[in-house]
Amino acid sequence: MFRTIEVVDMEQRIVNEGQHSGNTPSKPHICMTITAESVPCFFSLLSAGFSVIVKAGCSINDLLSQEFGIPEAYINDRIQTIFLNGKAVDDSKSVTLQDGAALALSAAMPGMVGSTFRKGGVFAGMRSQISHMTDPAVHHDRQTEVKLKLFNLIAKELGPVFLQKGIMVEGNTFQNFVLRNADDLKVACTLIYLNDEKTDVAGLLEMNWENQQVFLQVTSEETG
Amino acid sequence: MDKILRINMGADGAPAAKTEPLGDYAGFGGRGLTSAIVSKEVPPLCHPLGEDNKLVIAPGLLSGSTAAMSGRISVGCKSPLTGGIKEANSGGQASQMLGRLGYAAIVLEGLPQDDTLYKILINKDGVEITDAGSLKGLGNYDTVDKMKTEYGEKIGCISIGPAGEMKMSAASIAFTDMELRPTRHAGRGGVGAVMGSKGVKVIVIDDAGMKTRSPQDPDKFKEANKAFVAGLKKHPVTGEGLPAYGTNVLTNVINEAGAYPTHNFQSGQFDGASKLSGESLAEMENARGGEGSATHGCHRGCVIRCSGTFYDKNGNFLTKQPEYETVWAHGGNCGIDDLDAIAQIDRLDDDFGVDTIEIGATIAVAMEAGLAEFGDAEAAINMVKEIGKGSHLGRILGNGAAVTGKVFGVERVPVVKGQAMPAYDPRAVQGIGVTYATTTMGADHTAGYAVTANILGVGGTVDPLKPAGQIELSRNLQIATATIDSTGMCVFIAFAILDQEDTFQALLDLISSFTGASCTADDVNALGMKILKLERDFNAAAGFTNKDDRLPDYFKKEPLSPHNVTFAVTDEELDQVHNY
Repeated sequence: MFRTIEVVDMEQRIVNEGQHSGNTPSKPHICMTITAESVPCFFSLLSAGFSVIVKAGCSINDLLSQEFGIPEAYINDRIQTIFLNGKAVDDSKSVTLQDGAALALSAAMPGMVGSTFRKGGVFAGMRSQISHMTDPAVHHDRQTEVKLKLFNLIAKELGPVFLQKGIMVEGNTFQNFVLRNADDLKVACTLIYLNDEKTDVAGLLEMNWENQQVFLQVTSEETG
Repeated sequence: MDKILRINMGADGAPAAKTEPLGDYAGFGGRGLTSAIVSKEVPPLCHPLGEDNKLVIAPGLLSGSTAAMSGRISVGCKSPLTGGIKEANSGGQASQMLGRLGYAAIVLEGLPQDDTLYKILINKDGVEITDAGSLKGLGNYDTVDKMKTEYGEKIGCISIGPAGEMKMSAASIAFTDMELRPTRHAGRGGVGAVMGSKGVKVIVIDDAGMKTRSPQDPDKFKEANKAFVAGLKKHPVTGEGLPAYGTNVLTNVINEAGAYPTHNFQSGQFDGASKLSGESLAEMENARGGEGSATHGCHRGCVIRCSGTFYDKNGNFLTKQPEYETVWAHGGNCGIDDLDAIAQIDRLDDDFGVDTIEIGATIAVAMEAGLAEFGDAEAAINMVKEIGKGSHLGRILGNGAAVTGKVFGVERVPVVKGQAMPAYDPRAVQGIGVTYATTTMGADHTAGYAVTANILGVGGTVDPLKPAGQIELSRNLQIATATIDSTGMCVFIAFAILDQEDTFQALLDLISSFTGASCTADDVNALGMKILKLERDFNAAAGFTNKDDRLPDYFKKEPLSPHNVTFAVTDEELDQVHNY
């Protein structure tokens, strides 16, 4: 069922963002083709967080269902744990995304404490001091950048789609990732393009992307 | 399981074993039985390492049967760490084997008349107690290897390492797993020190020739077990999340919530958390491969299989997959973000026989005292080695966070009743703080587990969105957990029960079809309350008052980042938890 999820084309979003702000996007664009079994290697980037351009003031639920195209059943049943700026969310329909927000999505968690973080769960009272209160709905026409983190089963199931459509990550985060996994990536990557020019893992490590984002697309041989 | 094995280690001449019927203890198992025996037979004011204390090892009510998830075992005594009653439980093979041999409990009593170290063999023919001097000072791994050589590979072992022999308050008792490795531990409260004080190095269990315990109503039992397993497998936590990532799946989530105690509870988020996460650990284990790498059970009959096997970079077995608590204790709490280093410490902990939570918390306190820098993995490894050696420093560290904090003059010591807190900061998740403060066990995350009040109906329905609900929730959870601990069921069944009423009913049917007695939600509640009352009465007689049901003062004063919250539950509210 998860293969049917159609995450919005983030590259197009970046172009739109550039048009909106009057700036031409100039993020380095990396395309990697990897073996299917190597996709989980990239999940640490998803849990560390990547940037997405969203409509400012939209609710979490609208982001997931309308902008990302994630089925309601998946949002309701599978995404059981949501944090916005580190605070547990109980009602994804009444909490809105503002500039610079950090949104984390997880499946249901084990343990007593894991259970307390479930949205609207019976143990929610045990963490009421760090629960996210309902926001007043404030809708804007403009777009804004928020950080999205995908954990555990959500990364496993939604991650490949996000990776295929492309994610924006901090340059130094990406380079640390490449450095840490260099040996594995040398085996796993069958093709790497940087700004439409062919390169390799060593070539990525030579770049200096300090203080800027890169746009990363990862296609597995199976999905590609 | 209709008899109790009592071994008087101080009998004239040599230790003497006898079996006796359950008597008044009929109907109890696991924690229910350990707490019933300790509360009735152990003088509350006795010295925990003295002759009057008793070490009780009890399989759960359903252990030895084919009931899924029924292989947990409880160890009870007066704790040398807390000074109160203690139940620590473990996975491994021993519970099922003792159940098949018919023992509801092993009780070690008295003190040996000299410093002879003993090993105890229990099999279908009875009990044999012999000198184990050649095992003196050995780690759990070497001890088990020697037992394997002597008795073959179809045994189970219950053993202590050097920490137990040295009677350190953080000493654990090891239980061998399906591969006959001493990776499962009754870790909390210094139960290993009590076994050491009894002069017992290892108990070898051989259930050859014994049959699986039979239920009273086999057809109903089979049907209930099938429904119970199906419920566990279809639930996303027990059927997918835990098997894929283990308990360490919690790291990213707890860290995101700002509830991940970092640098000895100085802050609630750790920069290196993603490197320690269950996702990263599973990826590493899967890449390294090997038998049972990322998904493995801790005992036969486990269908959740939240454990795993950690192989080093060269593919050699190092330890079992470290649990969330272990990864946190030696990881973020000490500022260490290297899974290989943490696994190495876990192996040392298991071999020396110490509680990973207590030792992780202790090292963090030592780091705060300036014995090492936060993040220095090598220093942490060396500190654990000092414990194994029994050096002066090791003796201090091996007696836990409270002792170490006192010796080195540290104020920020995260303990309740002398026992270190686990991996959730009570300022961020205040409901867990209520449980830490008020459980009979000292700070303990499993004392109040996830069986919903609304399903069990304990104390009425709670409004979860009111802070006051934390008191009721904690109370109800403590009662429910006491019951689960008595069945021998793994507490992780709680998730499926929480969400699926048919799975909860299957559990009740499983118990009633096995025992032949009716089991309802009311019975479950009554048993849980009875156990808690026994435990609280023991603690009261041992000198505990409501002043012991408190968190350390600094949790009320030092705001925890990133949410800048302090523990806000009042003392008056805490005193209401056990009003039932």
